[in-house]
Amino acid sequence: MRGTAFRWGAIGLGTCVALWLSGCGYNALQSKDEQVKSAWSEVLNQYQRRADLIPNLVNTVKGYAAQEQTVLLGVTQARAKAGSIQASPDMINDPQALAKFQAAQGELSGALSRLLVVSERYPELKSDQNFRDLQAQLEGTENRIAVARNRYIQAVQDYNLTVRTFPNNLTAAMFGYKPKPNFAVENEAVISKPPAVDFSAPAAAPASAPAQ
Amino acid sequence: MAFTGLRLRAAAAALLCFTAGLGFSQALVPVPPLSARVIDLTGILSGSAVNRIETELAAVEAHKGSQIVVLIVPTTHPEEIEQYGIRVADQWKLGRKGIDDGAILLVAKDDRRVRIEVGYGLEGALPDAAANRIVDETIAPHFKLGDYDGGVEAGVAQMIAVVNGEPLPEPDHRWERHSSMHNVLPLALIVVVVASGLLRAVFGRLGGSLATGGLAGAIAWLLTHIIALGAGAGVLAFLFAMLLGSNRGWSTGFGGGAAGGWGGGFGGGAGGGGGGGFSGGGGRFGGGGASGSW
Repeated sequence: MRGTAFRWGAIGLGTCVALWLSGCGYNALQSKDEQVKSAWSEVLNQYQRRADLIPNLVNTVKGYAAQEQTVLLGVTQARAKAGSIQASPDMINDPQALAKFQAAQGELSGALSRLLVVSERYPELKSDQNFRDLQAQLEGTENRIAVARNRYIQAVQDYNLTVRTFPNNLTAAMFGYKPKPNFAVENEAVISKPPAVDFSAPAAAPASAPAQ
Repeated sequence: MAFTGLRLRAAAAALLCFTAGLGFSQALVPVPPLSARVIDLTGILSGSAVNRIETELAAVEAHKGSQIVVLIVPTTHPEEIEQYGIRVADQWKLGRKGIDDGAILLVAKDDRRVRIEVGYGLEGALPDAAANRIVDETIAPHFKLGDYDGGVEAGVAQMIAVVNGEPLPEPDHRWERHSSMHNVLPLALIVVVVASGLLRAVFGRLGGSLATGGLAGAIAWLLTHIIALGAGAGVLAFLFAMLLGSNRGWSTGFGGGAAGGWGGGFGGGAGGGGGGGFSGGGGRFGGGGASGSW
């Protein structure tokens, strides 16, 4: 009799543990943590794509506007600085490293937008097909970065909500899952705005002016 | 310290409320349901152009598997066309799942903006630079002259040309049919067995089998709109029902099971592959493409 009771107890306990693990969000934590990681990889991937475009862009601009040394140098230096930050996957758990990474990428965005503003002054450069293709690629990549960042922000929100709400917070605390830092709002405005605004406003005006 | 913390938090909450309120006051342009391959909410395209483009785009999907859709809205304000475009892409999920070969030609008429939104799988065929050239050199010149029909048609033609040049996986309808057949097959088998048993009990062996065959054929025909398929499914279901009725032993019952299951399953399965409806296939977009103005 005692043996059966014990066995039933063990089975019951096992079931409880299984139910608790799946019911208290352990699995949800795992999948959301993984989603955050993959969203972060996409962000890094797109920043890398931008960094890869820059040498070509700088060289093309140099061919027509070599005198714009400060601007060209600014881009090269900002790229080197952004590249020097080791973009490790652990960065997403470290608010300071994330902020530093953001700041460096934001600086690069600023330098790039200055380069594009300057390039507006050189009609020959603007009509160079290679430059136009590179410009389109850069625009596309900036947009991909914006999309990847938005998806990352949503993934982190989703994850943080899971980590903080009851009863998942108990599971999260037990297994050491902490809320992750997100891209800060004010930084995001700084980073995502300049390429879009600085770039399209001057581009649209001269393009439509001679046509009409 | 605690006091400043509290004040900070209150300020943050106020800021949050403010931004949330701001978000509500500027309603975003809704994404229309994916009802056709050319969705013109402004009426700038002529009916004949819409028909021509629809036919071309349908042919591309039948031929290459890629899904391309044209969407013309009055404006995307307060969003930029890029932000609106990715929302449309995320909602419609054009392109096949896992291949992500969808694309959208988006026009915001009053904003005078055009965008080609490119799915992950087409970023190789239609890179940003190529999309930019289509927008700048093909679409914009037509639009500047007010020739919306010509601009959209020429733009779509170029998009189709690059997609046709890309070695994409075959639009394997057979595969689709098989995969959905696998899902439906066991169910169809059970339905045929149960229905034929009931109908035979009511109408007798021959009558019941005929009724089963007729029913299966009608269902297959309704689902696929192909008469031959319906007839085939009907005949198979009839034979299967006759076999079931003739032999109550399980040995031959099973022998006929494969044929009957296939007959019933085909009818149901083809509904997934050959239907006339249009919806996104689950393709993903990552913001690739190019925008331009005219």
